[in-house]
Amino acid sequence: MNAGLCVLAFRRSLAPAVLGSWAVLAFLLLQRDWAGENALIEAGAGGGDAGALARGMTREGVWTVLVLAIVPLLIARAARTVSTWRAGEAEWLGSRSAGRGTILVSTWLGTWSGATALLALSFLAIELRAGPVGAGGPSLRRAGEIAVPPATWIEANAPLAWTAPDPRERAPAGARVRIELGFGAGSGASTEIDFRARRERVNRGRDGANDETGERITRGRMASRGFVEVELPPGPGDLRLELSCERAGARAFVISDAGELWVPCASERAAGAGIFVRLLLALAAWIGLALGLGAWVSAPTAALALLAAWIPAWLGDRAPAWLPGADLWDALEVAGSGRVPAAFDLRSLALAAALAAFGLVLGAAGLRRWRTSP
Amino acid sequence: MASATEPALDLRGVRKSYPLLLGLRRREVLCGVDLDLAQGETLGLAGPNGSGKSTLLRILSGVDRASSGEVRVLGGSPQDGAVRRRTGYLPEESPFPPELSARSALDLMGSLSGMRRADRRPEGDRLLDLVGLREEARHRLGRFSRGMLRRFGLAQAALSRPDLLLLDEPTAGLDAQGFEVLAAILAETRARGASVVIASHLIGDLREHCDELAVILSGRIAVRGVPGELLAGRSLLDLYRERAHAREETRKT
Repeated sequence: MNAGLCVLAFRRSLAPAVLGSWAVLAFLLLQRDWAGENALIEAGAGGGDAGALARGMTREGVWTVLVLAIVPLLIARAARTVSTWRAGEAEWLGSRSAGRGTILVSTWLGTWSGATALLALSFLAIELRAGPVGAGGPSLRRAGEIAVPPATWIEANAPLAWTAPDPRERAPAGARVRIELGFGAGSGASTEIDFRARRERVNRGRDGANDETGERITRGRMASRGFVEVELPPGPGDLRLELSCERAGARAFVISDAGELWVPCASERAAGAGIFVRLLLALAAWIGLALGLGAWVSAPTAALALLAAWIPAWLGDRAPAWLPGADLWDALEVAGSGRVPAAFDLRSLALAAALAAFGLVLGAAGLRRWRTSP
Repeated sequence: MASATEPALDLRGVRKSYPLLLGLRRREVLCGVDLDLAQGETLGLAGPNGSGKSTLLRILSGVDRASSGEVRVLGGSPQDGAVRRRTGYLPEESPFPPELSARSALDLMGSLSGMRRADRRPEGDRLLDLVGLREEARHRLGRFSRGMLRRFGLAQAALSRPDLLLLDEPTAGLDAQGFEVLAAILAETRARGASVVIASHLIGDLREHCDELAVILSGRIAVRGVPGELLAGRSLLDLYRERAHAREETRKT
């Protein structure tokens, strides 16, 4: 690693054009009211904290625009690095005794550090704009899934009931399960849905039958589609869950292919931190790959190839959490609901390092020839 | 310091071509260059534009690779880091990082050449003084004039006290003070016993600084000799025409 080259790459990733674009964009975005009346309406419909929702909408809105505007700029500039070298700088860079690996690793680290600094500034600016965290109680963090039976109609005389294995340590006190439902044909424009949760303790009852304890029930109104959520009873044991329609003739159906498990989280600021960390990991991989691809193809082609490689992951039903940056949009959506996205998958850390290393090896192979024309 | 027995340069049948039309055709820039240079000697390379002088210097500096042939620089491959550490190169253009100050850029280049931190700053400051840029040491290279950039280029080429100094058009853009700077750098380099290769269009550079002169025409060494004899009573252009004519006659016979 060469510290001087790392500093040069850091300065170049924070070039006046990038910093200026970021500053203007951030200023404009932070002026905007991202929640408006929507936070009150959604909070009223879902029983949430309007303040947390408004802060979440601000996080989602500002991060989304910054990701769409600044991240491609950072990647395009990284992809242009090798062509800049080939356009002239190779003359002083390639004639030194430092190896191609040293040059690429130092440049990657400097570029990624610059991107990290810009994202850290974004995080601070967004959290300052979001304002102090309210007194609406702890936030909720996504903590995994709970099995749901295959799509079935739920009717007044035919509730959907199933048993899910005990989520154990993933579900501390205050944990909740959320399921997305759709309102089917029936009388009226909406129906009320009851969502019940009980703990099932096998062979503990006096008569040898299962003993069910601590039932929790939530009632929600369903118009077209929406979520119903119930707090899980404390203690060990499998979960007995039941969804039922109260109005005769009304029908609803389960949209989710899994129930979302939510656990209490100390601060909703973890939502912004979750997005920040996801971006850091994704940019580590993207900058490495952009440097590597840029040694073989033009900078725009390299940037577009990267985009094309990630599009399937973004468009799929379920973003693979192990792929750096794949669940970024899901995390933004969760933040927008005033909640905290799941902690990043440790496998994505390993894969980000592997993809960055692959990109740098690709770049070193491409730089076997510093010049491709006279 | 180079070993007394190894030649500074030893090139045999060096060819270099670049792909054209997505690799369907190739443009041949060097067509079998044979060249050697003893240690401590200064060789001038002359030739018209596009004759392959800069390409040859890039191959010798390790920036580019020969397509075929054998290239030995200071007894090793120019791609070898140990050889590059002993080679200094002034490129034809001055593509130095515009956002860095002259002092920071020299520090970076010294570190990339494997110089120790303790040696980089004093040697960089000494060279900036030698090339007349001490006052501008803290100025960004992006604010330098063309002549100042050439003088900076001479400083960075001489930074690691190389055993082989490769200079591509060293006087292009230099003023009278710049010519003195070049003479000082060359005197210091030769006093160390190092070899120098100077590619230039200027007859004055070649006569004044070089022990030998090689003329490249269409990617080949057309003639080599003592500058005073080769250039006696004629211009470089006359020499190019004469050698081109001689080659044409040889081909006909």
